[in-house]
Amino acid sequence: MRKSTKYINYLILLWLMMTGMSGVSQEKKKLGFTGHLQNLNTVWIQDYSSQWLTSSSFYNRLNLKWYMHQNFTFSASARNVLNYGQLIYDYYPLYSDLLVEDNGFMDLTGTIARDSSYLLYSNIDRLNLKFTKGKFEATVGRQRINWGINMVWNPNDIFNTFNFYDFDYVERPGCDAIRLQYYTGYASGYQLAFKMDADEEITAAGMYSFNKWDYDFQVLGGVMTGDIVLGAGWSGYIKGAGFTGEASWFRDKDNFADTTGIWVISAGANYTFKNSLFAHISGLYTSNGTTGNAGQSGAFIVLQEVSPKTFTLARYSLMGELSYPITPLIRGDVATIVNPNDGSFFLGPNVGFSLTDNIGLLLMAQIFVGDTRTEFGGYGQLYYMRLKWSF
Amino acid sequence: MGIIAGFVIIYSGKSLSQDLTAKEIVAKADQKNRGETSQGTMSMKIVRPSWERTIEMKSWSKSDDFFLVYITAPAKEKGQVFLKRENEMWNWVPSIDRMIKIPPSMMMQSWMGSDFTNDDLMQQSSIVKDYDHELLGVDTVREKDCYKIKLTPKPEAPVVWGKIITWITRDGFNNWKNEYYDEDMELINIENAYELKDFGDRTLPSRMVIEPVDEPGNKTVLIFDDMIFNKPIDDDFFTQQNMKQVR
Repeated sequence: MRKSTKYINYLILLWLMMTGMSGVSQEKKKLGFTGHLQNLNTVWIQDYSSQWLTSSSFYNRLNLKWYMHQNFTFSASARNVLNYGQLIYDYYPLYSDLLVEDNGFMDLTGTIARDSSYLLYSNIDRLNLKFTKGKFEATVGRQRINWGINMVWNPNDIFNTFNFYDFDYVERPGCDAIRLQYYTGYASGYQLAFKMDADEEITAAGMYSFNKWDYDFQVLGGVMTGDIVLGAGWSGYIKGAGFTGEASWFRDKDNFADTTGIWVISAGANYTFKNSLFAHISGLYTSNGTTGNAGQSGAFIVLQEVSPKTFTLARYSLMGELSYPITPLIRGDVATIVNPNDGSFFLGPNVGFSLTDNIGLLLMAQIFVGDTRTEFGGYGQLYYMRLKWSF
Repeated sequence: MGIIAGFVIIYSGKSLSQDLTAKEIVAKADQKNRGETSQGTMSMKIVRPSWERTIEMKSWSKSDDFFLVYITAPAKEKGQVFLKRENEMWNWVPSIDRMIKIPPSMMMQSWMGSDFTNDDLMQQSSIVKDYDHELLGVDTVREKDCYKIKLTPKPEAPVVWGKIITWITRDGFNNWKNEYYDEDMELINIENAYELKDFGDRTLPSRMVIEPVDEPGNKTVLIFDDMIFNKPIDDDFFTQQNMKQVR
């Protein structure tokens, strides 16, 4: 079934580009067309090899909004990506296969051309129709359902979870789902969502969000693939500092009697000083996590698919971040994540430059430090340079 | 002593302004600037000696309490929405489908790299309610007769400034010039208004220029393209639901 849908995306893509092009000249109200084109260069200094691996990618993102009727809005987004370099070659075909894996119920990712040196593929990560009537909304199709509140770890983000390390794909892949929303106030309402993935596993949950004492709160319950999930989250402030948190409880629904369930809890605080220095701390507690070495087996931490149950194998994770506008055009940022038990850590400094109104340059490093079998051991160091034109 | 001084100020204020107190003058200017409701399109140009950046937006407001801004340019930020409802503020980021609640400390941050803070833009503080007003006299600024008024923040007001000196035109109650002082009473920013333009039922300056005193060549220019005042806007417009729909 997935095979049969494989080439539909080319047709859609073609149509998307055509309507996108014509949309530029059409009346602004009916069509919205945005996107970006970028070049990302990566150098990976591996721990277990003296050879530096380089790779480069050209990535074009197209977002289309079609306001077809006062009650109906159609959204589609596509990514067209060319990857090449030693990284592709050395890890062929494993790395290339990982890039074109579509975890959605529909397979909307297609390889256009590839061999051991390069990969050209396209992927549709949004494709949905939204119906709005008064305070009711229904969205059907591939969409991003983001129930997360925190900046790093989102235990409530059960549909397509944010991955902090995958900085170049903040939009996330989107999931194939039906979502119903009903707003009961300016910051409150009900949501029901049902998602099916490539393995025909179901994630379905309801959430109620409300506003009280100048805080936003949410409570949710449902199933996430094989688990029953209950969760809650908040966003508010203490004095001037932002204060957010999320907690989720998971329990295997088929072995409900044999298991006790696990808690994943994350909270964070941030403060912006008068000189615009932004400081942020976060913590994550995973009740079934280990206090020993928390190494995982995957080679590519940036690409690994996360769920709220698999942020980490560690029981405790701590995060700190400082961000400062050195000039209005240059922003420096440094983030660190520490495993206090096995002593390994991640360090992620980056500097962003605004070159023109629409062109930005990002220099970034992801440095993983730790002994063998520790959480951050073995990943090495990754250095990035990204030039991005938004339109 | 204080009572007498206060009385003298109020009394002299009345004589200068033909029965308008300093507070009434500021309130009239404020009322004219924002109306009961307002909506419009504007652009903000950040000018530095070697570069410029422009941000374009649409905005809607109702009384002091409700404010919504939709960013239309630059492309990278397009579609972002800021909502203020009384004490609370949110930022909708459509690319990541995320509603971010903005904490108070973030309000004092420069807005998108400009000489304006989040607070200036969202009018979190009110120049009428959050300040004490004192009429200092009359003054001529760019050929306009103006009331010169000192604004001193009330102790608990959510305000960054130590004081503001404002010049309000006598003929049209337009906010013509402002000087912003920090808590050490040092002059930080000078704001001037230019180019009176007809916006339907009222005439207002259409170009505001704010210049930091210690950084010559730096300025932020705010240009109002279209403004419509007092057209009814439902409270339901200022909601999280509408943040995701407005354009």
